[in-house]
Amino acid sequence: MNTVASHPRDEMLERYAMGISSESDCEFVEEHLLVCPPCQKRLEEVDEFLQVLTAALSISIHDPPGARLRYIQIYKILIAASAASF
Amino acid sequence: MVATIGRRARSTTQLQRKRVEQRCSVPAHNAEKERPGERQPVESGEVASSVDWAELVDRIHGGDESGMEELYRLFAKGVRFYLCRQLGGQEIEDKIHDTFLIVVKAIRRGDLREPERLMGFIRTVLRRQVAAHIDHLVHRRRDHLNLDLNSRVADARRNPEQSAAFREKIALMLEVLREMSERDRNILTRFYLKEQGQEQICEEMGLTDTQFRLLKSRAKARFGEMGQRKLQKNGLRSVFLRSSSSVAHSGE
Repeated sequence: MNTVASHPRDEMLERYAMGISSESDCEFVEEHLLVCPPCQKRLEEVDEFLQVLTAALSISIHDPPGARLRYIQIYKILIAASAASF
Repeated sequence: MVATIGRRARSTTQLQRKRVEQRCSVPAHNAEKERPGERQPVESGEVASSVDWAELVDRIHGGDESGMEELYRLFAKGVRFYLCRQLGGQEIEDKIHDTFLIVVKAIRRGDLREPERLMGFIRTVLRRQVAAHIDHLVHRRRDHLNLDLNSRVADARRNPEQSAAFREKIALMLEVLREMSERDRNILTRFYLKEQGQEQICEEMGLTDTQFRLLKSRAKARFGEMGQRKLQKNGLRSVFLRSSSSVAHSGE
């Protein structure tokens, strides 16, 4: 395996950053990173992208789009209903 | 806000846990199959493509100082990068020094029989260093749980400025996610957050492998495009450039 003859593509780096790459891919990526500063930079960007994305997705599934608006609408309906009842 | 930070910390911890599993050689449970064309050729003059490894190892074996200098020049940044990524910058200088010492001693003893495997050899030394460090920490924690109150612990938290920038990026990312279709968001959530495998996602969403890869890359591209448009105002481009350029690199 010649680890300096080629760069890992983004998909491979992404799987490595996520910790789900195969043993052979992991070996290739880690050996390549030892001598390739541009790919070290790419991996840092992938790490940052994954951290931001997973954090945002995590918030997003707990607070799905439109949920806040629906809560406000329900709240307004309840206020209107309670006002009408007086 | 507290809940937000808690969720972010959990996500970050998940990534760190995965990395620990990877560096400890635990087979990845949902490793995807290697696909052809996942490597792109290095152009001439790039990285260390022109280094004659056998000649370099010969020089070090013969005690030539210039060989050791070249070894350090080629690998110092990569060794530092690996150790920082795995250990978070704790006691890094000593570890870098130890790594080169072990490698040079082994070469001088003639233990490296295949010079072209030098990178593999250095990686093995690094992995052992990391494993030994983790083992040491585990033992120290177990032995001195109640006594060692002043022991140094790596502080992986961001400083206040970094935290503010990170929160800003997340807020921006949330805006982008809210503009995406339910289907695209679902794919990203399943793959990146719930860490579901490709097979499971395809089965549950009724997709073929090609459709999955296409949808995932399209979702990421859309994500990147929207992010870039928003970031033109903010100057936080790098995060989104990564996601949009990945589609072009992956050739999907």
